[in-house]
Amino acid sequence: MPTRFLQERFRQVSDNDAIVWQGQSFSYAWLLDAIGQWDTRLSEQAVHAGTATTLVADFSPHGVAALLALIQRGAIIVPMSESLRNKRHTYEQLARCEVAIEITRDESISIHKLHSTAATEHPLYAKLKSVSHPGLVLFSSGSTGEPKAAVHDFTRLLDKFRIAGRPLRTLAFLLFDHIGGLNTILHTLGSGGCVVVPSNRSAEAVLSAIQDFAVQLLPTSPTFLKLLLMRSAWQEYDLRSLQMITYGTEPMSPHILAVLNEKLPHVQFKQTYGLSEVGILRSKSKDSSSLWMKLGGDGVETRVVDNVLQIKSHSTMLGYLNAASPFSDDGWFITGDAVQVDGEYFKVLGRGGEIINVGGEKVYPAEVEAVIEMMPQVDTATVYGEDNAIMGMIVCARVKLVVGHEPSAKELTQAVRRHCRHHLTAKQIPIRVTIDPHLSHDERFKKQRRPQS
Amino acid sequence: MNSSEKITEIFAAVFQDLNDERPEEQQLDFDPGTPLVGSRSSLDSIEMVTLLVNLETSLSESFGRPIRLSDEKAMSETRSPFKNVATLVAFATKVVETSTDD
Repeated sequence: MPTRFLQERFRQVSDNDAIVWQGQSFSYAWLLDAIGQWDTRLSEQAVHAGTATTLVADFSPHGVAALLALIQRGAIIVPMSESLRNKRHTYEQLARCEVAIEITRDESISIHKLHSTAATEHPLYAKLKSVSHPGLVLFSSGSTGEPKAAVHDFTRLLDKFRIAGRPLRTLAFLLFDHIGGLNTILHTLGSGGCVVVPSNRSAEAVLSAIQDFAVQLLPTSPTFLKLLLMRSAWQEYDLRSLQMITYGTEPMSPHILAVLNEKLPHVQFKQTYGLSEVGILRSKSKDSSSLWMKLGGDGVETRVVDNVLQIKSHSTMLGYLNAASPFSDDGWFITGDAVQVDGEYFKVLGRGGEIINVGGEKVYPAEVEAVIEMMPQVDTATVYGEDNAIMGMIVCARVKLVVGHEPSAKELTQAVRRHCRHHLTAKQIPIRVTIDPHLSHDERFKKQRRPQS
Repeated sequence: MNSSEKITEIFAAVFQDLNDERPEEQQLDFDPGTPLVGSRSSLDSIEMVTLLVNLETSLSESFGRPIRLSDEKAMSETRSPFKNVATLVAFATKVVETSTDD
């Protein structure tokens, strides 16, 4: 049973808090009992090993119990967060779901059968069934085109949690359908820690959850950390319990990292690295203020080919349901992340797909954004490429200004270009700069690097 | 003011912005014969593209419709419309006068 080691650990700490949900604590004893109830419920609903099951939930006590019971039964789990509501039908079709479980914020539960239109079983599902292993299907949020459905053997993903870490009170910031979110939950519960779920993912809700429930670890994204800095609200909260902030999912601005270190000197900052396709790798930042990190260990191998990181690991997905194999001929996963290497340290420059090729020079949006965001009048910048008949592409930027600054578009363009000339090459300097007061991020707190339609 | 004069005026302002980004000793004259491309031009490719993008933006704002100067068609004309200030003004005038609001 793939979750036996987890349940044994839960029993050892049965009186401790496992989950804080809507301000209420739920113990490990409660969780064990709820997993048992879910097992019965799933059995009644004919959810067996290999049944592809949608689980629409957040990290609520029942959401977590259902997830663990599904793993225990060997089901193929397709987790979805509330934010995917409008894509749900498409995803269910793609993942050939047979049963849908929905757990709402008030913990009401509904389970119903779906009509899968697939005539034949997908070979990856057949592979999981043949070894009676639970599966996990995650959709990678590609910036263009159809989302890719990555199929994992859940047993392999769980293996790294067999060795318990430090039991920390950890905030569940990343979502239920995000590899980072699942990693946070499994790591925290697997170590006997406590998962604190904020009432929503706003800066205020996260800050008050940290203060009210003595959160020690905040796994989040650079975009969210910037939002946190922008609102000086964070100064109104008692964040003394916070020991570590981990950030991943997108490149971090060195300037923002320096400011964070200055504002929160008692907090250690650590960069994480993970992808829907490979899981979350163990990482070690050079230091709190550095964007360089070591990756790997635990049987994870790394290599760099044409400046792109490739990974070979036990927890890599089996493949995509709906896309060609992203593995090299010799079995390495090609991440698409362009990296710099310095000895055993890596620095992620950005997604290959986001690289702007200006007349043969590769420009990484994150690098340009970091420079623009050094300007005092700039709140946030998003850099993207625009097709150009002469250079192939040109660099453009959308900028959200700090309240109180109201330059014209032309004045801003001149100021941005003047500033960038001191830090960037001629081809990296944005040609078109527009003011966008609504500049924001997607529900996963990542920047959307696209031209506006 | 006819459209050619108006475009010359807009181009002059865009050209001034370009000069503002260049060092004191590398200022360019906004004369009809000032070369924009080729061996006699002192503009590098990224400056040329910046100039064109800014000119397109200013023309589009001024005439209230999208004006594109640097497309495949313009690049492949036998006599380059980008040769010098005069040829670019003439080309931009033709584009503006034949463009529709789409």
